[in-house]
Amino acid sequence: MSSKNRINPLVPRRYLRNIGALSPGEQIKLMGSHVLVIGLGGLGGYAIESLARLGVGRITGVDRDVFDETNLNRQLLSETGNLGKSKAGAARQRLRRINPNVVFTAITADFEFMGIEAIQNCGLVFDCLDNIPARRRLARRCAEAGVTIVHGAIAGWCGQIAVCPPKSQLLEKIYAEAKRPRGEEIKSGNLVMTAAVTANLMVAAAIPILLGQPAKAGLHFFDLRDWAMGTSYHVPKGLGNQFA
Amino acid sequence: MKIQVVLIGQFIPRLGFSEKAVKVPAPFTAGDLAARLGLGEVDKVISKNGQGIAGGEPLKDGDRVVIAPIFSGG
Repeated sequence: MSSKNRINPLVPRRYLRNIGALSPGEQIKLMGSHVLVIGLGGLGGYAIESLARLGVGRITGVDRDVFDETNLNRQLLSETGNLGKSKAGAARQRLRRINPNVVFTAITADFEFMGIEAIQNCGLVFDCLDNIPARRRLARRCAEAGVTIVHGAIAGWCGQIAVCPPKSQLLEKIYAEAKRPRGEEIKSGNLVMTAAVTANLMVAAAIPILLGQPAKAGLHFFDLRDWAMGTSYHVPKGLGNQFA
Repeated sequence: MKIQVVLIGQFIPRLGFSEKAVKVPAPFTAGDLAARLGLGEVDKVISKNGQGIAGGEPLKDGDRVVIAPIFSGG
């Protein structure tokens, strides 16, 4: 802690530019929070970067994959020098470089190996996966654990985020009609701007939840090509939306 | 009856509009509407007045229906 910190002696200097948008008390609360990020590819890489720079105190990152060349177009953690290397390992190295105050647990495995208690130990789960069957399994797991999911998904210029309280079954509803394991991205690909924007909208949506404040539960779409953004799908009050 | 239809993402260039009122006979379901628009066999998310619905959901005059493609990339 620096003596130049005139705002609050409990807020480390590295977070001073957060103050104003966040109160010192909110910053300290974030430093005590724990987020579980499932998937460390296009969405997960940007998500952990922002969570760590914001000062979320504990992050657990889970991904069973290694980097390949097709990741280089959008995945922040991928580099020409780490192709074939573990995504979770790359996440640990990057977070150590940008914010060693964050306690980061890297897990190179399928998320399904995690027990319910391990999920419950995190205040919030980020769904940064890339296929519908895995997202459905994660939703069931989090419903069982009683933990809220912040969901993100992209295709081309478009993305969606959703705040899914555990009783809302929102993810199951979003993918209710999906007959294939992947969506529009099969045709549209995945762009770096869409991944970065979506991941950071997920982080923005997560902050109120981590601070115990009202959050916008529901499904929100955006289209970067048309500069359009809108909500299509609300979670009604009383349907497990403990934030509204 | 008139249904306000809002499209998301790739459905906009595919159908040539982002939002418009569509006149349909009663009774009419969300699935009927998707089929009328040529989206019957396409994977999609449909919401009516801000709530997610299944294809069999009946529509009424003035409903606002949003139809979005499925996104799952990461």
